[in-house]
Amino acid sequence: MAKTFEPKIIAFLCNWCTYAAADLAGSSRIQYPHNVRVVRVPCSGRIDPFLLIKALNSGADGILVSGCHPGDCHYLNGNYYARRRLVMFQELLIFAGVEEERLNFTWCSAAEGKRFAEIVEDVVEQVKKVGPWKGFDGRGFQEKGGMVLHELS
Amino acid sequence: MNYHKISQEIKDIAFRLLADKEVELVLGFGKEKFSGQSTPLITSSPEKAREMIFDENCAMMLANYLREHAGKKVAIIAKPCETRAIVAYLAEDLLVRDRVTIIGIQGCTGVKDNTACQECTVREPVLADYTVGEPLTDEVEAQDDLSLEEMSPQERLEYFREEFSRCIRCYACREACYACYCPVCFTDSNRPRWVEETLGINENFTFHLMRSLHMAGRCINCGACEVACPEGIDVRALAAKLYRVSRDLYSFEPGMDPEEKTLFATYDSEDPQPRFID
Amino acid sequence: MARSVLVVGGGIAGIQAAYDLAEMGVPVAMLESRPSLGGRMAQLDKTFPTNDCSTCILAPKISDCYNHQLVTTYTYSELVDIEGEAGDFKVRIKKKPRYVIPELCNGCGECAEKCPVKVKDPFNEGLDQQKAIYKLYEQGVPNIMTIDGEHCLKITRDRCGLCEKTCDKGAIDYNQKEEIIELDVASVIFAPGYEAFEGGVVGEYGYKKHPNVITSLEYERFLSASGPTGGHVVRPSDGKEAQRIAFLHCAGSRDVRMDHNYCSAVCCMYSIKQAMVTREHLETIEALDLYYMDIRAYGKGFESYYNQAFDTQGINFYRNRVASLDQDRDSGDIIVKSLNEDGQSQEQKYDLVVLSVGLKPQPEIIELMKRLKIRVSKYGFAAMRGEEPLSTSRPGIFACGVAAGPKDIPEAVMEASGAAVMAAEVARTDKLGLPAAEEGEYTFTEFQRPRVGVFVCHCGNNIAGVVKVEEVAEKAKEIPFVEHSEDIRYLCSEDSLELIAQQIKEKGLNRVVVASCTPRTHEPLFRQAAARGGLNPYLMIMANIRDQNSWVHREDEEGATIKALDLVRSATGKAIRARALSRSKVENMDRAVVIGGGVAGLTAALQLARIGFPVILVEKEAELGGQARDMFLTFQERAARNLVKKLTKEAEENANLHIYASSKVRKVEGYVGNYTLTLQSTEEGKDQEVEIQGGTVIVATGAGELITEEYLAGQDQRVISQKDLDVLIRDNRLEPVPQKVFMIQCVGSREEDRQYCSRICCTQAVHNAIYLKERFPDMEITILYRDMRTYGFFEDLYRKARKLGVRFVLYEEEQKPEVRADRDSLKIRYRDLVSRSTVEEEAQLLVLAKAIVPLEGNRELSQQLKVPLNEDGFFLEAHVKLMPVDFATDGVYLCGLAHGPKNISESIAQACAAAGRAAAVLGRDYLLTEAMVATVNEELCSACGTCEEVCPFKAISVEEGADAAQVNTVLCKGCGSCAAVCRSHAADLLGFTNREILDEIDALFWDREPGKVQAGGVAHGKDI
Repeated sequence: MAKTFEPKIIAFLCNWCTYAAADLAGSSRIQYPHNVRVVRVPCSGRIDPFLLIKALNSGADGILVSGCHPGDCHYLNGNYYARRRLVMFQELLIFAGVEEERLNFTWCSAAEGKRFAEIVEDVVEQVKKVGPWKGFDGRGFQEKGGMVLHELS
Repeated sequence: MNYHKISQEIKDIAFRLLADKEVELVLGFGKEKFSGQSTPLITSSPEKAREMIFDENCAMMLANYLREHAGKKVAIIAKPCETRAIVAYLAEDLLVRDRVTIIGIQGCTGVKDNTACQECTVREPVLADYTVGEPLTDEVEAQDDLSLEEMSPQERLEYFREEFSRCIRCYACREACYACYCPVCFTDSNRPRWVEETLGINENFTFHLMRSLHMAGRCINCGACEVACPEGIDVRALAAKLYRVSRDLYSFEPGMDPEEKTLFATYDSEDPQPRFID
Repeated sequence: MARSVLVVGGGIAGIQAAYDLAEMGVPVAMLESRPSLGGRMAQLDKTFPTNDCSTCILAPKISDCYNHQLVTTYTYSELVDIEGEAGDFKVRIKKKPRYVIPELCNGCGECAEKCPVKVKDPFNEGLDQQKAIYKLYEQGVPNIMTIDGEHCLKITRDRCGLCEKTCDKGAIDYNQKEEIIELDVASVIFAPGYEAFEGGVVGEYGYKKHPNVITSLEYERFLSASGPTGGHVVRPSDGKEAQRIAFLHCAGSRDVRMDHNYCSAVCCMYSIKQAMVTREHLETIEALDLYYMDIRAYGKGFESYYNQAFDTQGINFYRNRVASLDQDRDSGDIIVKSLNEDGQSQEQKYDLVVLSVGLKPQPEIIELMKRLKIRVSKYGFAAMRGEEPLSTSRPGIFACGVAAGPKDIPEAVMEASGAAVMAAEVARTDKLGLPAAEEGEYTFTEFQRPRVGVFVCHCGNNIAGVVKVEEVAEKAKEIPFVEHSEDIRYLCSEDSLELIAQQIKEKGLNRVVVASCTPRTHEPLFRQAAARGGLNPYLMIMANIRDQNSWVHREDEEGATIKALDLVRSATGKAIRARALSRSKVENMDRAVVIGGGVAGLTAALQLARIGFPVILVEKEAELGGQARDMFLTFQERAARNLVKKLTKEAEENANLHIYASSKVRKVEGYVGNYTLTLQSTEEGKDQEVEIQGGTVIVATGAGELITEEYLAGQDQRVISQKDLDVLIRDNRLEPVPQKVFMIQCVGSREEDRQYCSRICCTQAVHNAIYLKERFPDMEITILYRDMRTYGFFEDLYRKARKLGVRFVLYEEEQKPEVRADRDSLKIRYRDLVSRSTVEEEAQLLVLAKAIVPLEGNRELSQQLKVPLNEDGFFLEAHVKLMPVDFATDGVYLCGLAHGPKNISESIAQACAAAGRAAAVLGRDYLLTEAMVATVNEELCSACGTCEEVCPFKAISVEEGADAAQVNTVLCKGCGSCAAVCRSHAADLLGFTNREILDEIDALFWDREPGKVQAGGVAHGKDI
């Protein structure tokens, strides 16, 4: 039986603005698609682009990164530094052939609950359009399967 | 370029610097005995320094050796791209300026088998204590290779899959790069495991993506990685792309000013974000 | 310890005051009349001049204050009475009935959904509706509901009762009664805030009559993303997007008719902000027209903000007087008729007109203050004295924020910190200081195999109504390392918390995953539960399956259930990598070093000395007092000199205070708690080096007056500065008395190379002019100005000067006056805007308002202390809005002119603030680091120094010659920027390590098995 494609999108959200916006969408009961999985980080400045590559390697169909608007950073300027890294990352991956629709970056303030929901809706729709992410090798993730647990301390 | 004259000037300067004990070591090129190719010649002997040469075969980045000799007073024969590497080291505080004597080669027209030289706009040393050769009188045409940009994303993805499928993970590209100097490379990290050691397109692709991310704002587009690759893979393409992005979006080209902060060490509140969601 | 202090008002000023007091170790009772904390600032969309999101910066402050161990909050409560005297007050508080039991309510809002009664939403200025059971605003703290007793059917008519039926926590109590609570406090701080003028304040503007005329506060709610229109600017009449908007400044302010002759101090800037933000929302907007009298952009960074707006396409400034507003009957458009500078009438049509209404005290607060025998000014604000800008007339009672006059947020915050330290002085019994909580003892689990316990919360129906929680708990058992899993009705209830603790012990769990609501509010609670079970609290990881799942996927049970399980997996992935963390103790010195012995420095130093801390005061000159020594007319005709004398005398006599005069800072080493400064001290003509130590440093180095040759300054002795004039008046040396006096404003200020307003000069000029005019009524005085910036109550002076016949003439930056001199007189040529002609007049005296300029030594000191300067050369605080006296570097504070131009009263208030902020650190026996801080693996580090570059707190650095970066955990705030830029992954962030994040990601896909799961995520549907 054919199933509709339900992508998994990993959203890296900063604790102070966008994570709060996502909470606000909740308390305001603004509905959006379930496909997003949030990874909370203290600041968008925490995000090493390697983590984003790993998200794609794990099998995420798309990623979303959102922090405080430029100028609003709880840690003064973390998002400014982040912006350069994220722009470079985005340009690199698009150049490498990854669909732009999978690589989503934005800023969303703690008051923008509605906007957060709209962004998620938009991103999910975009990713659905380009279909499942099949990995850099194009083979999909079915063969990997199982649990890839790294050795513990 | 008059390689004979340049070689002569290099020999003279190198000899004098060592004879007068102004430096402890000179990094230069010597002739490979059998193949007629060049090889690094690193010496503390003034006599040996007289064997130094320079020609279009001297593709290797001697600047790579500077880090391991950072404690000594060293002189280095530096192509313009290498002077950029040295400047980048200075910007990252990895070298002490007065411990490095730079013998800069002027009027560089490129080395053999390095496609990066066709994209190069820096034909004169950025920083030098001595110069050899003559500066170029005419503008040299430099052209970015944009052929990949013209492909569709899918075509590019296929292209890189094809390229990286040949990668044997010998890390020659890494070793050849002036900017790769982490004490432990992420490829060797177990906790966490950033990339599997095993060969596979996915792993190889991941490795090259991560490597080029480390080059973001640091790659001087010298082409050493490409020259070093035994499989002839287009290993420069990704980092070269980031070189162009950095130049075009942030007007930042690494290795031009030792006082300038590196790309990721600073920001402008008006930095562009061309593809971000509004 | 100390006795308690009552803080009246839970807006930004009250919150700051309460928090600072608590940090000094003073117990606080905080009162807020509304159901939630946050005050006016919570209603704002963005704040000038940085366009910061108001909620983003305010919410963390509210939460820090509300959760502080020494702060007891009484929301929905009012002050009734204060008896007794300073040090020994009895206060009575009226606690209004919420009809909701705070301990039981979790603010889920299900009741509000069922409630059938709709009432106007006051938080949204009545622009939309809320239910009779409500939260003031969604992010409101405390997160509990309130029943509007006036509208609730049950309470008014004993019908309905739906909310009680809906709430399965039993949190509704219709029988609650008003309560009176009595408290003993040593001191009281008033921070009641303000109310905005009614829209109808100026009758001609037709507010309410014309639906498309609204107040600025209403407009603010339109702009807010969480406001009634979701951030869209639409016309109330027809919902059409507004394309032409007019902002009418001074609606009700500077207007004798309304008895608000004062300037409301913030309206110019907020109007500019609203125009800028609107433009950002809608780049194609046709017109944003600001009608103003004077643009009063006098605060730090305001002038360049104004310039930016001025240069923004679509934003227009008209110095027009508005004559009337009329409504076009068909379109609902508003026609604004006005007179321009030349006296010509103009007419423009707008979609929307915004009245920039001013600030006034609430009538009930005026009544209250009068009843409490607190002297009230003629405008109804608490009356304060210039040299004690934070003290009301009743000893032991202080005021901050708009209570004492209209002001912007940073000033309110400054005053709050200042009032806090003054109240602490009254409340203290011995040494101030917050006793640090002892670290708990936890079972050692670091290298054991993870044994994870998963607890899934139903949250009544909030989660369980959508997510199949039993199934999630059951499936969670299949996740690797999960040893125990169960679902619980309300995880936050006391017995559930105890259960978690029990299960940890019984099942030998060494990691806990709590799947419930948001960690932003509940992480502390569940961490405590883990700690109760003997587990290091940082080994508890939350999965947010309510706010970010069940509440937002209500129609998608299956999707929400899959997601919930994914989030539990993900949290488990993180949990197995989690490490036991702790906060470590660092030595702390209780001595402060104050650099600068002017009024600001003296005030800060004395305030700290008075509350028992040793202080070293460093002054570069031989004598204390700074600029104020030469001031005379500065405030209320009281000589500043007397103030300086008083302060100097007290400084010399106070045993806690040690003065190093003729001393300069040469070197600074160390960090908060542990600074060493090397001074170069001149004593009896000999230079010597002295080393001093302290836990905090206050920068109060002052500023200078511009040296210029413009307008013949320094070349003709008839050209003097306002400061010179002050001295001449003081010494009675104005001989011969000039017949005609000209004053030129903005000399060197508000220009290309000095894009800031020097703030005090307009008032100073007006002040001096009044003095001269009163002594010499025949003297002709002309003030050439660009905008008359007599902000706040100084407007009274401006009016008085005009009344006395001082002539005010506008000039523009492009057409400055010209001055030449001959033997008999000065000749002043200027362009008269009204007659549109150039006029030349004679004068015997020309007084220049010279710019206040930063000191040259600022750069060196900023480098020594590793704190920044702004582009004008003044010291730059950590956050212009909410941290006006702090630097990003902990333990270093700022006050007075070093921060930017301001008058003496403002300097004193800011000095008290700096003292208050410093006292919170000085009082601690030792400092505690954060638990989630950066860490460096030295073996991996290549010492490239990028981490040092990006760290905003100077907490990580590569010392000269070192092989690896080092973290100073006292300074680290845990942002993780260093970890993100570190190529060799040597730097990492505890609590958010690379391994934690990686397995948090990876675990999302642990459900995939070969053959069963297809590419992407196609089939996770039925796997559950």
